[in-house]
Amino acid sequence: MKVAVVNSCIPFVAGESENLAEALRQQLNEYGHPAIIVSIPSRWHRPSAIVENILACRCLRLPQIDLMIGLNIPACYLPHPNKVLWLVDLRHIQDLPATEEAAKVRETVIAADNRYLREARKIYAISETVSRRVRSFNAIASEVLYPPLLPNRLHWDHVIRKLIL
Amino acid sequence: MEIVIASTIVPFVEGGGTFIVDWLEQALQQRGHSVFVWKIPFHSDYREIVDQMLGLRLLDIRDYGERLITIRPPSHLLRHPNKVLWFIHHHRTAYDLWNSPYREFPDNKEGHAYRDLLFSADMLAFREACRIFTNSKVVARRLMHYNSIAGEVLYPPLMEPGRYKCRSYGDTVLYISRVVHHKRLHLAVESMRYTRTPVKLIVAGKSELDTYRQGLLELIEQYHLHEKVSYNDGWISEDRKQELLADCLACMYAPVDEDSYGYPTLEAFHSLKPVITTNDAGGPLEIVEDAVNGFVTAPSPQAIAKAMDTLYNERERAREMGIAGRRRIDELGITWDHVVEQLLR
Repeated sequence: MKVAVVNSCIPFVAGESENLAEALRQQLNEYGHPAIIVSIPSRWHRPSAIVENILACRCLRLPQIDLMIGLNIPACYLPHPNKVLWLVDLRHIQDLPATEEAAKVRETVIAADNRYLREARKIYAISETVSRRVRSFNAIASEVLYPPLLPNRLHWDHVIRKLIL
Repeated sequence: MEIVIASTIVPFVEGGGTFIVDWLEQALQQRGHSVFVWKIPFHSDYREIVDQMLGLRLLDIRDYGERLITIRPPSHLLRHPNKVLWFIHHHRTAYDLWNSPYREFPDNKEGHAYRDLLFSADMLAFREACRIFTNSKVVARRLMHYNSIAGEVLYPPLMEPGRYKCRSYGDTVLYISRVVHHKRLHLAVESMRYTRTPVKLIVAGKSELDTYRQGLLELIEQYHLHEKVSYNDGWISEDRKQELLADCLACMYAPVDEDSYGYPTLEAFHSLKPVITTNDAGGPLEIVEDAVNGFVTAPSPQAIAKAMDTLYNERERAREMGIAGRRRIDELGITWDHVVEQLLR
């Protein structure tokens, strides 16, 4: 199965999701699934940029890909008929500034979450905290799937089986 | 300097269009620059391209990097105050391949509307660019012809040319390429029906469409060429490739009106081997000179077979041609120092 690990990032700034994306890509390869990382540069520093950014994600495509694994927002918004999420971080709503403009955008973001995250056939979260956030902001249920800290074979067996299934 | 390199990809397809990105990244890093490479999967179906162009337009990377270098279109649509294009080809099925069997757009109102939109988007991207380089004269000519835009030719080098070596001039002509129709490996295979010497052919590369691969195998079968042609299916490792190059007699590279001279040509010349190409191959004609560093023949199996036989019978000439090929690379100044200097000028 050909897999795209889709990850939002800030160019020239290393984030925690990059490490997970790379580890996941390597593990998928080891399990016989060719995988690439698709980076989506995005920084929601201006509320006005957020809506554009959401729309941009919806306009991108993932040809030749059998399975998309989304790690964070807005990467998880990309359309794909076979989408699984493994949410690493979900601070995008609580991180919005407390301004009037941001309040309007907030509704758009929650609507985008509700619509595009629900496209996934399964949603995992890397921790209880992340799982709680997606439940409280979006009333979306997710299953906790801890990322292996070390290249632990048994643990990765479990993770890959869950994500690929 | 912080530099963003952006290019579109077809996931899991590797070739000239991805090497140029990876190698530029390495070349920039080796010179102390910090690089963010952004490979964007791109669906080439005409009904999908408008959405994707809009997506690229909307994705705001203007704050990142002191320079944006875009390679494969439509990455050139990205907005950036300091955008430099190293333009390697148009969306060819809407441009130079429009009147060809490769055209993917329907020839009706809908198809024309998509094509017009693509043209306007390209023009916008070209006008925004601080500087436009092309990978060949062929692409520069197309840019002038279709868009009235002047591009400067900046030839892409190999990453580690020093790794290629020459041990002998054996009895094998080598055709290493992606195994797709427009690279015309079938022409090489068919030529083997007409050779009169014991010259052999090795075809090697990864196939993208099984039907074309199958067609090649059938050609070999149909004309009983098993003893003369061997087909190395699948991606060939760098080490293995360099070994084959070191001992082959010559290389062949004869795509249909290709955008660039092609890395196989450079690999041959760095291994001091002559190159057989055809007079309709496009890019390779910028570097291969007939009877000087290879042969430029008509695109017919008979003509190619004759060139192969000549090289087989005249090894010393093959050697001289190979050395002349190496000299040609130096004449054209195909080095990473030059490329980096130009792109960051």
